[in-house]
Parts: sequence; structure tokens; C-alpha cells
Amino acid sequence: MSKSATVPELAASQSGTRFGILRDYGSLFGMCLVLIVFAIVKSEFMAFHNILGVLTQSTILIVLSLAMLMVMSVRAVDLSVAQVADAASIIAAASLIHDLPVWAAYLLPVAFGLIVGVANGVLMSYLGVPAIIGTLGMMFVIRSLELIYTNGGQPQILFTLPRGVTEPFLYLGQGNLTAGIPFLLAFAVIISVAAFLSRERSVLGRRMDAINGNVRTSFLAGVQIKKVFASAFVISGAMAAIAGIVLTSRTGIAVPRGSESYLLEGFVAVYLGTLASKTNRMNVVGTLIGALFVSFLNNWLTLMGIGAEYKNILSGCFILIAIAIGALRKPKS
Amino acid sequence: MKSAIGTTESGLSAKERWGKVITKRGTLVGMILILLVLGIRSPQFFTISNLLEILKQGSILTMVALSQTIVLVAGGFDLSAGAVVHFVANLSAGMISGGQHFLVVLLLGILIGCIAGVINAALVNQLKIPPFVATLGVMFVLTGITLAYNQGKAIPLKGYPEFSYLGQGYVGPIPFIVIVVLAMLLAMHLYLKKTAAGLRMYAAGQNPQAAKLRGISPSKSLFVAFVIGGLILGLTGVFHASYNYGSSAVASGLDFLISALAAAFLGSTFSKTGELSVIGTTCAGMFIAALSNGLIINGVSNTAMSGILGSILVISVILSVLHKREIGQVTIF
Amino acid sequence: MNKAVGWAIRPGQRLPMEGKRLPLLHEENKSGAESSHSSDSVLVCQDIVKRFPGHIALDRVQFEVRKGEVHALLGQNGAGKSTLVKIITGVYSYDEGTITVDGKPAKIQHPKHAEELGIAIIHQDQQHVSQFDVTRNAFLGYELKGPAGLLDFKRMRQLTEEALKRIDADFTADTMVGELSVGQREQVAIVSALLKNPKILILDEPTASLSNREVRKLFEIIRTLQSQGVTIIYISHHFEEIFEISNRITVLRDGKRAGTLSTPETNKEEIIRLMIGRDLTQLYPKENLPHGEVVLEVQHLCQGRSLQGVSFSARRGEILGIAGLVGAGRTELALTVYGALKPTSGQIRVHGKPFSPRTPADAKASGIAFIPEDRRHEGLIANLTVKDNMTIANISKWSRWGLVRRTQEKQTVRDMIEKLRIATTGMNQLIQNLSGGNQQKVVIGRWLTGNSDIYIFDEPTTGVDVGSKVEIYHQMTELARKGAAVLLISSDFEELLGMSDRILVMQKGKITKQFEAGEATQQELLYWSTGGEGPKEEGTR
Repeated sequence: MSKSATVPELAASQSGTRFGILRDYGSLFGMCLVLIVFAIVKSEFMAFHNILGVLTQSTILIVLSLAMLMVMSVRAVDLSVAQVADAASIIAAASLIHDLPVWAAYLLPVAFGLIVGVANGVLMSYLGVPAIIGTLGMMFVIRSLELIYTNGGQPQILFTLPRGVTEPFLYLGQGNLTAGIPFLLAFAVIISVAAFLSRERSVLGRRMDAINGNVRTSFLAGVQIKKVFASAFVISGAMAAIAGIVLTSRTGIAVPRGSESYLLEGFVAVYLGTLASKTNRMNVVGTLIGALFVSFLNNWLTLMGIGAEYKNILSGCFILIAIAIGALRKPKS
Repeated sequence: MKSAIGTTESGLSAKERWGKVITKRGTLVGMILILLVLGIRSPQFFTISNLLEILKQGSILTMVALSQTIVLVAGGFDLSAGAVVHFVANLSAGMISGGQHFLVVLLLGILIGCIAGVINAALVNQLKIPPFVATLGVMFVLTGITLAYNQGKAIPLKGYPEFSYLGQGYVGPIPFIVIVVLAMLLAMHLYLKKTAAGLRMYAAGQNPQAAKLRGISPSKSLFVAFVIGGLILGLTGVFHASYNYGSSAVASGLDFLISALAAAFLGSTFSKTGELSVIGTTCAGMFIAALSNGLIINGVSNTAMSGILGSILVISVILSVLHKREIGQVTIF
Repeated sequence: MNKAVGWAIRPGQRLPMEGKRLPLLHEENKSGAESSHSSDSVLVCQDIVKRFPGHIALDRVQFEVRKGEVHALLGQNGAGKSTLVKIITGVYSYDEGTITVDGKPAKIQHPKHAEELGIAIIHQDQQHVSQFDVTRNAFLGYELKGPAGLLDFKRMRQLTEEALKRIDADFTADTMVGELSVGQREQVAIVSALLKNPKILILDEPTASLSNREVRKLFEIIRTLQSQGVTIIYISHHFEEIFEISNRITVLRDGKRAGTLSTPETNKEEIIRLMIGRDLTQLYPKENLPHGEVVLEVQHLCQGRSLQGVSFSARRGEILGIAGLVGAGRTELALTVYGALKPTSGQIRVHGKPFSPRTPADAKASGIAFIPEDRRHEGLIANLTVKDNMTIANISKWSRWGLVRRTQEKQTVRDMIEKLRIATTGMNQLIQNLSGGNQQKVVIGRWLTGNSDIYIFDEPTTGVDVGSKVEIYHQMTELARKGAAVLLISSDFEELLGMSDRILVMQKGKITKQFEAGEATQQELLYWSTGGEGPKEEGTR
């Protein structure tokens, strides 16, 4: 009489778990192919110094993309990241200009990022404001403060300061670890590893996955959803601030609204990153790949002398393609 | 503005009606107080000519907000709104300066807006891309196309009286563009509140499950909303070019978004149930224009405006979500 | 306030169960049955097959409804009633089979098709747009238009008022649905269906949240509709209702038709046999264990309208059954104890200490585990793996410096898969690809890894195959043996009788009856669940 507990869908679970990964390299191969074509069209693209330059330069985008990833992992969005980075870069520069010690130039921006993160967390998580609207509001508030502080957008320049004052600060962005290896590269690796551990290997990361999958279930499984949701914003704020510090340290100048374009590039990186996952999950490794791809793409466009217009079009198409591929390969329920 | 109050509900007992009017007017009273303070500080604020000027200044913003409202009603979200307006404005300016008749330009603008709406809807409905991501992609692409078209230069228009009439002309003392906004408002109000399609659009946006059980297709509602929204955006683009005597070179796609969202959500606080309405949106849009005008008359710098807008957005959303919140609920979009 | 009415009615309803019927009803039923013989079928479903990922919901089901009859559709939870109804109303598509309406083949693929064929439904989980008023909700999708193509609110409101009057509702057509109670929303649904003048009206568990007076009213409406030639398909768990109102009964079991019977010619025992279809006594691995100290004590707990002063206590080693019908407040009780709902008043004591959890996280920390009723929406994280689903509740157990120790975690999961006999390709399989029973085992396994000693199972065996059910029962017994207190909330009275020590019966937010171990019978549970307040003899055989 009794039915046996058959699992008819075992056969249906696609392509096994071990080889499923292979299939997912498809889109990544596509990205590699694009880069190879780029290299063929423009040979300087593959020059060692160019690659090293792009890798170093990409640190800012990597950090910012990872910041966005944290929030997007809980199905929210943080539109204020680029603005936080922007403000942080100004704070860093301003601290040096106002004769504050170097540690202040590092710590004050991070503190600012944390404050914005906490404010975002409270707004979205505890007050229930939809993330896209709350962070958009935050973005404009920060922009406004920035413009007021800089008298309508005057850049904060570090070149004019004595070398001794700026040197320790600029080491982060311009110094070399050993001959030829920029310190920034090592910094990117450290940040990436930290992000990987906190997102993919930590208790918090697991809880973020759970919230991403089903908020109600997570709540009933005893996950403190509001806390986790809010911490994503706090981490995002702090990381965005770090990206801002890197930016100032690398360029020696903080231009108000100078990092706004990173917001959109960050989106591209995160969405491209979902292609590196079997389940179209937003993940750290994928986001890294995405950020690097975007950086190389930008570099190639610059080498080719092609302007921002095509960058925008390509970016938009990449987002749509990445998501469409994800949607298409998702097994139908 | 006053006629707006109390039109959505009828057939209530006198007591209930008064109760509703008072709760609805909470936000309105706040708005009027703010404007009164501004007006008392600078008497020229309340002159007839300035008030008409405010309505004119608020028209473009209100049009974008109306477009956003209808998409929000259907449960969507349109990040590409600003980019569509910006693109159509550039195209219009270019074509007018190229000697095209303004009616051709007007029709083409509307057509492009509709196409953008169709694309957005197709991405969301057919490819199952979340509205946020889909419209983000479209925003990128359109921004790129705009840059490719105007080569990063502003296109000024001087000496096209017919075309300039759209945005700057007057019928008697009343700006023509204000009449257009009022006509648009009336049409949309009839559509959303007095037709079956509008009623279903609200239902589809608020409870897609319930709508489906009644044989209503939420994706169809979303399609219609995106297309109507696109149509308005196209029209807005043409008026924008006319109002500004040409088009500006660069604009972030997010700039319009904040005002549009702020207007829509502030408008929704007029209703007891937090329901979005075109009348609320229009009132709120004009309030934002008045506030900006009043602040500038009172000597507040332009740079502070975006911050104030951001704050208004966040506050109005907090007002509209506070009473809807449940324990353990996390609002995502 | 309805007690008097309910008292007067319920004993009358009990008569059919003893093989007798009210003469008047008998007449009605008979005439209904006779007038609708053989070729008078208004709806015929033949060999309907519906597959879902993981299981076959309907397996070659036959279902035939005659014109003008009230046809009851019966079956245990997960037997396929709701699926069949969703197919008839076009919400689900079916994989095989044919449907004939009024003798003509009908391809119902969309709710609109069903609508055009004159099939209307009042859903069990009726969905409303809470920001709309009653009129807008009632007419949603079927709006009336005036001359200019604009909505004719005046007429819609008027018709809604009339329909509300017909069912004696105590709210107006202008009320926002968001402000209505669950029972009142049910009435909105009825009004909405009535406005369509349906040929076939399907009522899916319509009385679950209605008061006795409202049930009476509903039956009156059903009889009126029947006399007007409307065919009714009536889905319910309540045998009294079915015997009172129906002409014929179709019983589904495990996605198959177990039989179709003429109501006057059958009795409850026969139906139960068809519904269950097997001797259940061996199914329950119940052990009589010694009971320890009280670990959970609830006093005068109130929660909004759902809980109105509930008091009970549970001891170590005890399986405490909580019986009741859908909407009796059992889930709300569980959620309140678990910190997911805020109590309005009352006290909870855990391990003797006052306990007021603000979130489930607090309750978890105090050793309470909760297996929710709605597995799909509240139990599973569909896009995560078996492993991630199983370890999420106690993830910090395997952590060091905030990082997960994956080797230990995996070992635990491996052990648990073996212990619960979960059929899976591996711990990295997505949980959505498991069968219902195995999914449920993972959800239960989520709590077995921790140190909880109060377990609340809310309808743990809904949509679960028999093999997994036994496994779940084994785990409950195991937990009790280890000294945990287990609360078993269930609508399956067999299960409650088979597994519980004491059984509490809830009705309308109150505990109306408590049975000591071995005291209760199905009939009594049913009697007290459906609102018995009368003399005890009425409930016993």
C-alpha cells in the first residue's frame, strides 16, 4: 500500500554537480574570447606593463564592486556606494590638507563610511525603507554635502603639500612592494581574500545566502534578519570608503563627483559575476572576474581612442546579456 | 491643487470622510507650512507671476514623475526614465537645429519613448529580468547612444519660436507646458481610477497573486504601464529640449530619478492607504518645484537642493511605509 | 454570541453521522439526486494527470458532477483536492486527460476560460487587494462599465451592497478590505463569486474561518443557489457539513480517486476508510515515556483576534497534540510562543523562567525549535543546497572566528542525511529538487543538530509521502525519548491520536477541550474542533 519514498527528480537534477561547473565556464570563456579579440586588434593591450597597469588601476573598482556585492547578496541595492567613495576620497585629502596625521587620513574616511552604512542599515532594515529609494536619497544627501564643503566642486589637491606629509599616504596607491610590484596589487588581494572569507566562508555570509533565498524561512529559522540585512549595508559603507581612500592615494587628488561612474561599472561587475556561478548567484570570485573584465574593457577602449559613449552602450548590453543568459539557463520550474 | 483632495474616496459617512481628509492632509499641512515660512521670509514668493513660474519650473519634473508613477503602480520600476528624457531631448535639439519641423520631432520623440517602454517591458516580461536590472541596462545603453549622438557637446537652440513655444510659451498668463501637464494628469487619472484597465493595473501591482486568480495578467499591466510611461518620457524629452532652449551635454541618468521618485512617494502619503496616485504625484512634484524656488529665493545655494531632495525622498518613504510594516518584514524594492 | 445558535445546530448536524438525517434535508438531497441522473453531467473530468517536480499530484483522476447537485470533494491534506480544483478553474494546466463541460469538450487553460464556461470559485487562500474597497475587490477582473467605457462605480457599489445583504454581511461596500477580518474577507470572496452568476460554483474550505452564524448563512445561500440550478462543488474537511449539504461525495486519496458515493447511502466510516485506505495503527511508532518536569508553560496568552487566553503546559518526554481546524489559532499559538508574533497579553514560561521572545532568534536561543506549516514559503530556502538548508539554524555551532568550519559541518550533514534517510544525490543538491517528504526531513534535520528541548511541529506531514511520515514520527519519538517536549499541531486526527500523549483541542483562539492520553477518539476531536460546547455526551459515541 505505502508508496516508497522515490525521488523521481534525481535524474532531472541537471548535469550532476561535478560537471555542472564546466558548463558554467561557457560565459567566462566568452569573456576571455572578447579579451583575446581585443588583444589581436590592439597588440599593446597585451603588453606586460599595460596589464600590470590595468590590474593596479582596477583595485578601486574591485573594492567598490565587492561593496555592492555585499548588499546585493541580500537582494538589496546600495546606490550610495560611489558617493561614499567620493566623499571618503575628499575626506582623506582634506585631512591631509588640514594638517591632520596620516592615520586620520586613513581612519576618518572609514569612520564616515561606517556612519553612512549604519544610517543606511537603520533606514532599510529597521525603518523598512526600500533600499533603492533610501540609498538613492542617501546618495543625493552625500553629494550635496560634498558640493557644499568643496564650494561647488573644487578639487582637493595633494600635490601642493610637502612631499613628507603626503608620502606615507600616497604609498598605498603609488608605492611599490618590491621592484615593479605595486603595493596596491597586494592590497587588492588582501581585500579580495577578506571579502571572500566574509561572504563565502563565514556565518554571516551563510545567513546572507539564507536571506537572499527566503526571508521568511530565515526569520523562522532564527536568523536575525534585520541585523544581517543592516550589516550588509555597514560592510558596504566601510568598503566603499576604502575604495575612496585608494582613489585619492592613487591619484593624489580628490575630485568631487569623480567616482560616480564607478557605481555603474560596479553593477556591471556584479552582474557579470553571476555568470561564474552555477545558480546565477552573486559571488566574490565572479565579481572579481567581472571587475577585471570591465577594467580591461575600459582600458582597451581608451587604447583604441573610443569614448565613453561606447563604454556605456557596451556596459548596458553586458548587464542585459549576463542576466538574460542567467534567466535562460535557469531550469524551468 | 485643492481639488485633488478627497477625490479618490466617496460614499463615506460624513465622519469617516472628515477623518480621512484629516489624515490625508497631515502631509499637505506640513507642505503648506513649509511654503508659508518660505513665503513670509521672502514676499516675492507668493506673487501670482512667481507661482505660475513655479508651475512651469515643476512641469518637466512632474511629467517624469507621472511616468514613474504609472510604472510603480503596475509593480515595476524605471531607472531608465532620466536617460530616455535626456536622449530624446538631445535628439530633438539636434533635429530642430537640423531644420526638422517641430511636429515631426514631437512624434518621433513620443515614438522613441514608446519603443524604450516596449524594450523595458520585454526585458522584464519575456526575459524575466527584474525591472531594476533591466531598466539599468537600458539606461546605460541610452546614455551611451546619447553621448554618441551629441559627441559630449550641448546643443543650444536659438531662434526657433515654434519649437520653443512648447516649453516656454504662454496661453494668456498660463504657461503652455502647465496646460499639457494638466491634460496629462486628467487623462491618467481617468485611466487609472475610472477604467477597468487602470483598476487592474493597481491590483496587479499590489497583489499579483490576487490579480492572477481573477484572470488578470500582471505582465500585461506592466507592459501597458511601461509603454504609457515611455510615451510620457518621450514627450517630456521634447518639452525638455524646448524648455531649456536646447539640450545639455552630460547628465547622470539618476538625476531625474530622485525627483521623480520623491514626487511619487511624497504623493502617496496623501492617501491613507499609501496608494500611489497621479494627483498626489502632481501635487508633490509641484511642491518640490515650489520648495526649490522658495529656497533659492531665500538664498539657499543650488548645491544643497539635491541633498534636500534626497531627504524629502527618504522622509516621504518612511512616512508611507511606517504603518505598513510588519514584524520581520524586510522591504527589498 | 453564537454559542446558543451553534449549540442548537451542531447536535442536529451530528445526526447524519449516525446514519440518520433530518427528514427535510433527506427530501432535498433525494430530489436533487434523482433529477440529475446519468447524462445530466455538467462537468466530467477524465483521466486527469498533473505532475509537479518531485511528485505526481493527480494520477488519472475521474471526477463527474451532475447538474444542480452539491458535490463534496473530500480527501486528506495533499490528496490532490486543491490541485484538481485549480485545474478545473484554469489556474494550473494539466498534463493528460480531458475535461467536458455541459457535454462539450473544454480546454481550460486559463482562469478566463473557466470563467466563460460559468465556473466560479471561492478559494481557500482567497487573495485580495487590501488597498481596494470591497466593491473594487468584488468586481476586480469583471468590472462593469458605463456608457463612456468608464467604470460604473455606482452600479457596482449597488450590486455589491445587494450581494452583501444577501449573505447578511456586517460591513459596507466602501470598506477597505485591509480593515476587514479574515472571516469578513471570506464573505467578500463569496460576494465576488455570486456577482458572476456562476453555473458551477466551487467552494474550497469555505467555512474554515467562519462563525457558526456565518456557516448557517452560507448553507442557506448554497441551498438557494442549488434551487436556482447552480451546481456546487464543495470541498471541506468537516464531515457534518458535507453530510448536511451534499448530494454526492467524491473522495481523493494520494492523487487518485478513491470512490464516488451518494451521500444518503454512505456513512462516515465508509468515507474515512476511503480517505485513509489502510490500517493506520502500525504507522505510529509511539512509545510511552516517563514525563519529566514542565519545560513550557503558557498562561492566558492572547494574540490579536487569533488567540484569546490560551493556557497549557508541556513536560519533558511528552508529545502534546494540538488539534483544531484551519483558522483555529494553532499556528498563531506556535508563532507567538516562537517569538514570530507579538502577544497582546499573557505569559510564557520556559524552564520555569518568564520568557518574552522578541524574535524567533530569541526563542531559538532559549531552546525552542519550530517546524512551520507552509514548507514552501516558510520552511525551505529553495535556491540553496540540502547542506545549507540543514545548517542555517545552528550555523554558528560550526564556526570559529566567525568562519564556518566546513569539514565538521559536512560531517554533521552527512550523518543527518543518513539518520533521517533523506533521499538525495548529495548534500550539495538543491533542496527544491527533493520530494516533499525529503524536503520536510531536511527542515526537521535543521533543528536536530542543535540543543533545543521544545519542538513545535506545525502540520509536519502535509504533502509528505507515507515513508517520510513514518520517519518524521520516529524522530518525534526520538526527541521525546531524549527528554524534549514536543508540540504536534495537526489537522490529521489519526496522526494526533497515534502520536500524542495529551491532546488539546483549539477552536476560535481558545483551548476548548483537553484529553488525557488514550482518552480521545476521532469523533470527539472532530466534535470539539468544530465548536462543540454542548453536553459531553453529544461528543462521545
